[in-house]
Amino acid sequence: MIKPSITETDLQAYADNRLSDARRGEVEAYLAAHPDDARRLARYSHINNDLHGHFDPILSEKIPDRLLACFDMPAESASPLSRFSLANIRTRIRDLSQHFLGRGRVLGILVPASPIGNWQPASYALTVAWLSLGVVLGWQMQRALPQNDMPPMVRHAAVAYVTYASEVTHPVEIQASNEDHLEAWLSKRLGMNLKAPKLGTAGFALMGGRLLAGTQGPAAQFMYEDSVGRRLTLYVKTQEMGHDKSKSFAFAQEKEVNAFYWIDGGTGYVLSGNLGRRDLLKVAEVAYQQLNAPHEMMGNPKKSASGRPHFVTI
Amino acid sequence: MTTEHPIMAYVPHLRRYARALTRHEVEADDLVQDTLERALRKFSLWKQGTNLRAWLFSVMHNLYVNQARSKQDVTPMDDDMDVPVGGRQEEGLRIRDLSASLLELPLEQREVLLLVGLENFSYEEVARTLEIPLGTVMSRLSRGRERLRRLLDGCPAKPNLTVVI
Repeated sequence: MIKPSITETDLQAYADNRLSDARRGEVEAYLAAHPDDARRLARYSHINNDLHGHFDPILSEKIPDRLLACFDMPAESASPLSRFSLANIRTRIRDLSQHFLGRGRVLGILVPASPIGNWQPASYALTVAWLSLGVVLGWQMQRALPQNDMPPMVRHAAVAYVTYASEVTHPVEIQASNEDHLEAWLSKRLGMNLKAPKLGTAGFALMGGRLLAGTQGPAAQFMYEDSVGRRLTLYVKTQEMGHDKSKSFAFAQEKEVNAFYWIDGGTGYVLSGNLGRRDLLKVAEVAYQQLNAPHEMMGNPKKSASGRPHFVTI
Repeated sequence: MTTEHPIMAYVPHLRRYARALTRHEVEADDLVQDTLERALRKFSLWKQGTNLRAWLFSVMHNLYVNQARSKQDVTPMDDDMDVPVGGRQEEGLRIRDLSASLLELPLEQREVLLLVGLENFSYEEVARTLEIPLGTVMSRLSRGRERLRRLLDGCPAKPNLTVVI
């Protein structure tokens, strides 16, 4: 029954589903007598499926501009140095700062708009000059800006916003259709009674949420979307110390992401989105009213005179 | 852009492969960009009618092997990024294990395993792309898969993470 002619190559090809019907039949007969091999091959096929499940979403991602730009370059002028062209450096800084977001400030390099239309290798010295100017300008700007005591949660929230708001396949882990489960689960993990605020009056509907693991314990992320597909996230974490006394909204901006954040009774909230600051503030006020105002009505001593948070810009 | 360059159609596949090969998005797109620049520059060397996909992946392979050889240390980029946990936990952990375990394979096994399992190259195409004999493709595939399976299923050195809801 065991065909001596069955080789490891046949077995691999079986796992990859690349055998002819006749050969497959022979391999199946062999596997029937060799359950260990059968299990091993089933696992290989499974791994192939997992690879697709994990990496296929990349196929439908938008191709980054810097890759598309490669096609605009005439073949003869494309040089090994082109990776260092100004346009590319700008895009790379953007890509990197999206990766690091909070560290974008540390990168602190501003590249001035380039007067060079088509990059030529001979312009390398000019690029260096422009870059140096950019570094100097960036440094000056940095010094001119007020010192920022933004809590680390804002950076975490912004990174999580950038990571998941652009996600097409799995923007949320649990859908809004399971809102009760989502809230119960996140409440349990955060150790607080957590409800996703209703932002309908501001034009945003809940999509769902997910749990995030930060460096200081779990955090929750609720995601919302409006009718034109703009997304924003509300990030919530407990044991957030400091900056509590004024109970104010603070505004932070990182690249295209705007955020309002506030801390109330040790819980930190960050509303992030690429909305304009004014629009985002309206949403933040709606969220705040539902999340935090109830405490005040129950006699929270920190109640501000207006019943609304102060608005502080950082 | 008037007519689309024939290479354009393969960019999503090059990105997918690079991401699996390198793990980090920025590093992966750097590799894709280097590949596109070289491929576009040398496009005249590609023989019309031969397999363009295999040629492109072969350009990427050569670049990556050279880079990997010259680069001793790789800076971790994602070390303090938020990582989602919970929900479909088991799937999440399995997938994280898959990415991490892939990186533990020797590069030559990882390449073969990904070209076959992810990019659906025929074994002959893999041999042409990597410029190795067919028998070497099969042995690397076999060893790479078995190693990956053991990393994913059995590796006692790495305790399984559990997440408590």
